[in-house]
Amino acid sequence: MKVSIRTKIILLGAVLSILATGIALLVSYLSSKSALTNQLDTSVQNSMLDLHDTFYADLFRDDYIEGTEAVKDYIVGIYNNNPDVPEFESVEEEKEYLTHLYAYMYYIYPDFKGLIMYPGLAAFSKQYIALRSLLNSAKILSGGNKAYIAFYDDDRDRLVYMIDDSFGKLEYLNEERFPGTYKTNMAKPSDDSVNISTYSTGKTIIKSIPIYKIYDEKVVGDPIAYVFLEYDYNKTNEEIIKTTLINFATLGSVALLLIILYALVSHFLIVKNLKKLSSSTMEFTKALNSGEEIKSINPNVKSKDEIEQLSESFVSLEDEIINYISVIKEETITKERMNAELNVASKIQLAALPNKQYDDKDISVRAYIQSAKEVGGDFYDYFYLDETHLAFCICDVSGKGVPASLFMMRGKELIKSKLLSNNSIENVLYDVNNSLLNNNEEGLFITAFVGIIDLEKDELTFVSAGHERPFIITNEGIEQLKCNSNFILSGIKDFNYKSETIQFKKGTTIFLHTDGLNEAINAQREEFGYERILSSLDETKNSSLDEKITNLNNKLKEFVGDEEPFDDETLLFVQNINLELDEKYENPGFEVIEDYTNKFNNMFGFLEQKKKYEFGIIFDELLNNVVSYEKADVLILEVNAKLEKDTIKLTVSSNGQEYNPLLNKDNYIDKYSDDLQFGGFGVTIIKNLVDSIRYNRKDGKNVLTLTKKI
Amino acid sequence: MEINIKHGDNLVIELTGRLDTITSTELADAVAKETITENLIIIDFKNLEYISSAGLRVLLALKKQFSEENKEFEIHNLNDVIKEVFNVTGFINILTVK
Repeated sequence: MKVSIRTKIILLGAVLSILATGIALLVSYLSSKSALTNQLDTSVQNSMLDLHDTFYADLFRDDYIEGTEAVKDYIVGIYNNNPDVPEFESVEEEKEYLTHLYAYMYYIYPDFKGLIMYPGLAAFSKQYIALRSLLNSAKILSGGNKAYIAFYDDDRDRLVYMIDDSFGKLEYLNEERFPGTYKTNMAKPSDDSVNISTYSTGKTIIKSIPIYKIYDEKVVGDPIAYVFLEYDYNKTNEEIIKTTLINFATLGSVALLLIILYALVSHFLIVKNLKKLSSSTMEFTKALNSGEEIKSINPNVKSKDEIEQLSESFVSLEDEIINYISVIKEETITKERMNAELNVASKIQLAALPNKQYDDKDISVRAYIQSAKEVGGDFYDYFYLDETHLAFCICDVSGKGVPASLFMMRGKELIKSKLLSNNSIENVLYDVNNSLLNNNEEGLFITAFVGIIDLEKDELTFVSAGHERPFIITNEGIEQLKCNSNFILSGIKDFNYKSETIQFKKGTTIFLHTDGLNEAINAQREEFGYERILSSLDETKNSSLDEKITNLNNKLKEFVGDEEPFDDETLLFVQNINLELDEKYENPGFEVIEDYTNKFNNMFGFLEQKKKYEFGIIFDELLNNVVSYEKADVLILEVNAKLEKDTIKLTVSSNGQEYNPLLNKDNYIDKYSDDLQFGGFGVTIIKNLVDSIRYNRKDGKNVLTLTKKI
Repeated sequence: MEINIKHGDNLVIELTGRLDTITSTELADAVAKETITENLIIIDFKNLEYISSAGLRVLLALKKQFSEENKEFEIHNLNDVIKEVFNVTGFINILTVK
């Protein structure tokens, strides 16, 4: 969930103001409590002092002091008869006791007029009322809640109540402070009328002054009694709470106003500017994504604070991004152009190489080349030096990529041009080596295998200049050529390369490759190696050159898996072909026609299309005859096509009943008629297509021998 | 061999491959299956490699069939090899070749 900064600011402000209000309230509570307590203390103190003055003033002295004395004597009279207020077990019992007490007083003072006065006090009712008025006014003036007079019973350590401030009510009944009752938990007050005694019970504060008898303007004897003023703290607390509540309301409203003000100010100072920044960022991102030309967008924050700083940083960040994008664009364009150029270079390089397939009646060549980079350092070449000599080579330039490819082009042209000048391989390589050494500061070198096949002598003359040893494939088997390894090209000046010559019979194939094949590694860092090459060649010993290449590459791919090729790979097969297609069919059906035709087209692929079609017709006519008409227990059909110089000799023999198709009359139609008979056209067509045709019955076989120039 | 038969104003039979011992019967069967309402039947040899005597036999049979039905029968686009076969056998004299 996203929470806006404004919300956060307001929440923070609210929390802080609540906290501040709370602290202010606490301080206000504590200070007003202490102030009110002090105020109370002072006011009670002053009232006590007033009382003191009142008691000892000349005018009322007798009334108060003597009154006090009289009331005390009276109370003591009662009290001494009932020193211990019994513990009442019920309210009824208590009332009974009190009724008794009042009745007793009534007995003594029969003129009791009502509840306003205790009946027994009627005799000194004037003083009693004066004392009571005095207490009452002291209570009101001091803000206290109780005022009373009591004497201290030293014998029993008790304070005995005498009179209080109440008018007209028997409230002491509830307070247990009616005349004659006592309190044991209060210490004896101080007898010093100036140093007022103070009691504090936590809930109440009580102060007292003694009342003495005065004789001849002097205090005599022990105090008669003590005046007490009580103030209830709860009353103070209520006031404090009231004040605090008012304060709370005031402070709360002020705090609320402040929060609103704070939110508004922060909105203008922060949120508004942040929004500007945010919307500028979004606008900029949108512009970036649109792909159109972009300009930096200035949020225009003028807050003279960190946000303005951020806004400035944002603008410079935008400029950086725009700059960066344009740099990337330029780099991409450059890279694309370089790639395009490399592609062209790669095409030019591949175009410099001869076809990957070549077939004529003497030679079949199949090549495969795969560069690790766009352009490579491997190359192969083959070309006729004259009608009976085919030169070929496979080379590997040290290094890869553009430098290797340029060196490769140089090496290739040198070798070809020098070989074409009818030099021996030894001389050619001597010259090429020295030429390449000139101006070769990069120290590049070439390993090469250069060979010339003599088609008349069926010989191969070659030089291996530090190259991988090729494989020789014959009907007898496959083996790696044992040969001298001469030094690499562009290695040592004036090196004399020694050539070797071996028999290279018709039907023999030489397989050459660069180290990109045998040194290809898999994820376990193992090399593909010669054993795997040998086994792949062995698997395809009866297959075409194309299948040999496919199988090698499949095996290689299987071996290396996902590893990137690290070197160029080149494969070259050169075959001195023996063109003879010899097939033998038992109990043949018509399908043998297509079988032989396809095999023939495959082997004699170099023939022009027209010739292939003509041979197709010949096979169809001849084999159709045998399959259709000849019978034998096991019919054996043998077909042999063999290239002899520029002629193909075809022999068809079959062991059926004697049948010479040449005896059939030629057929030729010169006009159409409804009863035209069909027959004899096959022989007519064949005779027209071949240069010679002969029939023999030999060893129980029909033998047709045909020749046709190609 | 591929045989592609197109009906329309004329019936056009396009042959691809070789018309030889095996495939000639395919052609005969394919034409026999067709209901031919067109008056001109064209066999297009544009993609035909060569024809042997077995193929000639089918062409003669078709010629006979269409003659009896009073339909025109033409062979188009012969290559050199086929032309030569037509020449030496005299088929050039009895078939309309274009």
